Amino acid sequence: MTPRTQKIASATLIVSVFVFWEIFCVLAGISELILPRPSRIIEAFLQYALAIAPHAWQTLYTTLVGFLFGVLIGLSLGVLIGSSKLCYDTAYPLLVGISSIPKVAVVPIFVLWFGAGTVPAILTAMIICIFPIVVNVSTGIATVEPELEDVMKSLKANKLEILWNVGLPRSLPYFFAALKVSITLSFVGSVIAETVASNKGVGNMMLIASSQFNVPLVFSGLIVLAVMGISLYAIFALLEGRMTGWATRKNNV
Amino acid sequence: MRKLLLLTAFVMSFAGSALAEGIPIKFTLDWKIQGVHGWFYLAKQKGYFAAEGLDVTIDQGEGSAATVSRIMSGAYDAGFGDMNAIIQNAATKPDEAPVMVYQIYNQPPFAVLTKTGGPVKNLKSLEGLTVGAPPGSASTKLFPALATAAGFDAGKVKLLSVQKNLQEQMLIQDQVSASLVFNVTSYLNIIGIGMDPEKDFTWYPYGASGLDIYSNGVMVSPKLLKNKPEAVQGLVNAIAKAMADVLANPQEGIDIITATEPLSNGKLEMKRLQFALNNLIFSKESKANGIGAVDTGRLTRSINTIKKLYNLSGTPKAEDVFNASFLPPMAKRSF
Repeated sequence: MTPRTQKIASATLIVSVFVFWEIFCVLAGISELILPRPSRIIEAFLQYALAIAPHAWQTLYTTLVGFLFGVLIGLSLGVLIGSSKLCYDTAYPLLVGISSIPKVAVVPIFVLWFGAGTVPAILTAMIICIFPIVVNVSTGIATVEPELEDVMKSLKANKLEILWNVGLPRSLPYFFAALKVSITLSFVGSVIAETVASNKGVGNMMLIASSQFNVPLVFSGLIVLAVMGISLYAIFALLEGRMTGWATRKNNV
Repeated sequence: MRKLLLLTAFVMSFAGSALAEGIPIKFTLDWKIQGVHGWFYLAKQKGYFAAEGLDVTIDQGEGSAATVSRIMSGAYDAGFGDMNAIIQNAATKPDEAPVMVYQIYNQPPFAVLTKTGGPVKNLKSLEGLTVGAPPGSASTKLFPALATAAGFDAGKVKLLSVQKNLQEQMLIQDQVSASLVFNVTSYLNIIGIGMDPEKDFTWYPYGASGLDIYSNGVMVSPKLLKNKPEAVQGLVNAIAKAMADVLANPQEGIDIITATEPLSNGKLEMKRLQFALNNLIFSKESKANGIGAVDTGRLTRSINTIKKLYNLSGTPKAEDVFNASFLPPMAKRSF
């Protein structure tokens, strides 16, 4: 499949999902309270666009700030854990434990510490995205070929120099792959926190809308989230291509 | 990492409040912004809080019992939440439990919801029938106490665990004969489904059946009460004044809600407000004593009910959970 036909194919799939949805709702006579038609969702979106904007901005803001802190922490932890066997063995069980906790259970605790609003959303977005980064970066560093390390050692490089010149560049593809996963997770984290405790944000907006039976608006919220998620994913995919294109096979095998 | 975390939180939490003057008060609601919160936002908008020397931040909540835990954690100074949750905590941690200073919901919002013309003719006839009960909900927890008060045997009622948002649906489909509901929510859900909550359904409020416990009101942390009683007085004054405004012109309260959250549906929130006023706030007792006050005898009874229900060790006194000294003069609280 050429890239062009592939693009057409995925666009067709998306469009036909929505067309099928619309037709299905009309034919089956499904109530708007259960599953609104896509055309109603778009109508609701256009009608409320101005009111949705501050909520979307809040979600984007908490996601990005949380993600930034998450990346900083995840990257440092990943380098630490990946470059030392001792750290790896010691810290891994704790990390796995923390990452297995459903984040929705953590939000009320953040609220008790910091109050509702922006801070719990940022923290949730942060902790939810740390783990994939740590795992990927540490794996990238820990799996540097022993031959490369031996060469460096025979050139009298010390541990830090090996890390800087071989380990880190070697882990970059892993790191950027993790970024793509993490940014979408951060979104999930922010929205989770907003549905539990906040005054603003798409998650909060969806709860308000559902308490007023404005189901088309609830679905508009979902679409806004999906679009923001896809855009951020695309940005990081692009970044990955620019930064670590060298690690990807160019020709089709 | 921890430092970074705390620093961020620190900066975030102060960025907003450092600008305004007055005693900062963090106030938490019981749920997302709704028509019944009009007076709180109105007091802020019209400067009633500022006039009392307060800088109030209103945050939306996650449940009326959660208001109590939010205040006990120290994250909030005051809030709108459930009296019975205060009683529970006052029995076990008397020094940390918040204190109610302005009782807004005079009647409990719990009810047994049945279909008109269904098998339930009175509460006694629930025996032998299946009743939908959301696990963890206060209406479910209070059901045995309701049975005692209304004189039927709760052991003979089959309780079926049902998700909160499915309660009305399961009743309509006859999967249960009755549902234990939160009446403000349920009333509007039924309107949302497109049925008539008055004609198609019969309501048995817990309060009318003898379980005369109190419900949501304005509570403050023991710390604020002790260190800044003048702030508590200001808070109560401002809220009472704003409530009087909303009672005189409910639309004003709804307009502030729709201005604060443009996605709110004004008509629906107006119905919610009217329902809450007629069923939760206005009662013979609040007519006689004014909004905000409690009847000590009734409060002592409900403390005993809660104590029995949860097997609490301590028995808080009525004045431990409700402080009447901040109530404005009767003229400002009557309707």
